[in-house]
Amino acid sequence: MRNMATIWKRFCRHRLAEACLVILLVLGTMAILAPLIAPYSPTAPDMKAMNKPPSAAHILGTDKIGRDMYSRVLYGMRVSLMVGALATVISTAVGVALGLVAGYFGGWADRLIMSFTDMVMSFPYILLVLVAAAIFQPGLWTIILILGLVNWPGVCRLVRGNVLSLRETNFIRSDVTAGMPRRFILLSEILPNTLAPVLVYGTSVFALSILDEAALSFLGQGVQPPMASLGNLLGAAQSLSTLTGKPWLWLPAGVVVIVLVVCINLVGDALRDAMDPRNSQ
Amino acid sequence: MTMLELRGLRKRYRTGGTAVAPVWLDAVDGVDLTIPEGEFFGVVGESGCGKSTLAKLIMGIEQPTEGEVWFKGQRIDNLPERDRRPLRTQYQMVFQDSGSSLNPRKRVMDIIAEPMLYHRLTTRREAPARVAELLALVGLPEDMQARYPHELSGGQRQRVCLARALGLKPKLLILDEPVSALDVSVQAQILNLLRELQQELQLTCMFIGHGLAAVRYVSHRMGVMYMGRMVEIGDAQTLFTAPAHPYTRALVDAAPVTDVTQRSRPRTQLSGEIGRKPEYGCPLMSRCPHAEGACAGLSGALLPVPGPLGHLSACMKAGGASHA
Repeated sequence: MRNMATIWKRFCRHRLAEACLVILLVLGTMAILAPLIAPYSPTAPDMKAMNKPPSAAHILGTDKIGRDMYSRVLYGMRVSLMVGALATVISTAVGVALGLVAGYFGGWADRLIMSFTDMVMSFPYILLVLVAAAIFQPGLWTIILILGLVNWPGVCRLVRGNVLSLRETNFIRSDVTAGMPRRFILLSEILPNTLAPVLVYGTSVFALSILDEAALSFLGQGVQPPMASLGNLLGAAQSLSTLTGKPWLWLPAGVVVIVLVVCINLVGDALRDAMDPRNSQ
Repeated sequence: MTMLELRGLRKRYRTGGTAVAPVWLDAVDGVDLTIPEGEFFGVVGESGCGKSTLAKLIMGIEQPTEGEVWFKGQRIDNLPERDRRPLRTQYQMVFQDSGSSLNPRKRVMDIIAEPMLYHRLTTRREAPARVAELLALVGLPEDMQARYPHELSGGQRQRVCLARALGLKPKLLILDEPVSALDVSVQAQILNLLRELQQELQLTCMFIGHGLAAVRYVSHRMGVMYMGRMVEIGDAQTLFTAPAHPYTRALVDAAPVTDVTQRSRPRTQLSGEIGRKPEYGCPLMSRCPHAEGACAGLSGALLPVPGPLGHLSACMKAGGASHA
């Protein structure tokens, strides 16, 4: 966990993770540039080309109202990645803030925050998300908020544990004896030293959020049509005739979800190895 | 002028037991101590005798269970942190393990400059020059500024810790085993540095250590701790040549000597190991070769020893406990 150059060098020892990182960068760029590279609008129906299998004009075919599947997958990836990223940012921010407070101040603040954390954790996760999605209007921002607000307990516990051990180190003690203010100790000394594990944990939250979005949208409680997301594209597979007869409607989205999640997790694993100071040789 | 005064300082930790019948340990058990301005005071004692806890109580990292800490005529142990903060620059501490005393993510420059900047002892513009000055003071080259702690040796790190503490222009410096994690040759360098700095900056120092020779080398006066109590206080030389407490004598005698003719000198040896403290009387009673019935009635108060002024011992056989 010394500096970027050594972390990068150690990260590169994982050939597979390096490849995954490249794949993620390519997919991410495609998602960001979707409006530029998509050959058709993802929402405009085309009555002349409905239910067409892959062809030169539509490389991934079209759906039952003639929308180009390649364009829809591109836009869907954009939405899924955005949901995953924003949900991760929200849950990490909430988790880090609560973890810092609980760990550093201890006492009743710690007890209050940790009981609340345990409470959120003890709910059956998918049920909580489904109920929340049912109560609020389903939609893009609702699902971002829901996922962001159920995933933070893990980060919170991680940060709290780190803060507890950092608080006993001599450099924090020497800040106290030097009369440094709390905000300095928390933000300038403790926070940077707990960021590496949070970053690693964040990758798995990211992957989880993408999966959860897909699950919710598949069940119709997430991103609402006509907007495409990887989840509601997969929803098409709920019909047996599509599942067996028109694989171009669900296979590409499914493959993209799998590739994204596997790659993110592998990159996270390699990142953990690279940032672990015990791995230095 | 009195720089630091401890009055009946006590720190009690709970070490186990149940909520109904807790087991307590007095890590620091009623220490009285006065350190005048400009003195280099040494504290020795075996591991677990409470010397580090004593340092933490003085620095306000831990709160005393009982007793008072007075700094330059002001009681500081009960001050709320807000009122204590401005005072904190005046007494600084160097920790034992220099490896964990420096933030691994910061450069030496920032580590030394940040406390000075916060207390407005320097400005952003003047900070680099001030840091270079401090580095020179502790015998480090200027280009160390850009280094990270892991790029430094143990001795260099300890010097950086010292520079950081000195940057706040403290009057009192508490050194908690500053050399015990270092190689012997580096130890000597740091000890010499400490002695020079103490003279040059007219610091009052409290040096905590378990190596008798090191503590004696730097100290004017010394205190010996055993099971949370000061058992003997006196001039550093006197304590060595004429220890008045059997525990001090055992410590002195346990140190190896280079003179072969001294190999067979009579020595005080303690039996057994440090165990649980007896509920009353002298804490050394069970291990002391001179113990007798009356030791069980001892209060632990320090009594003057016949001879040089200011030599105090907790042993009721003070003076008589030596082999003479």
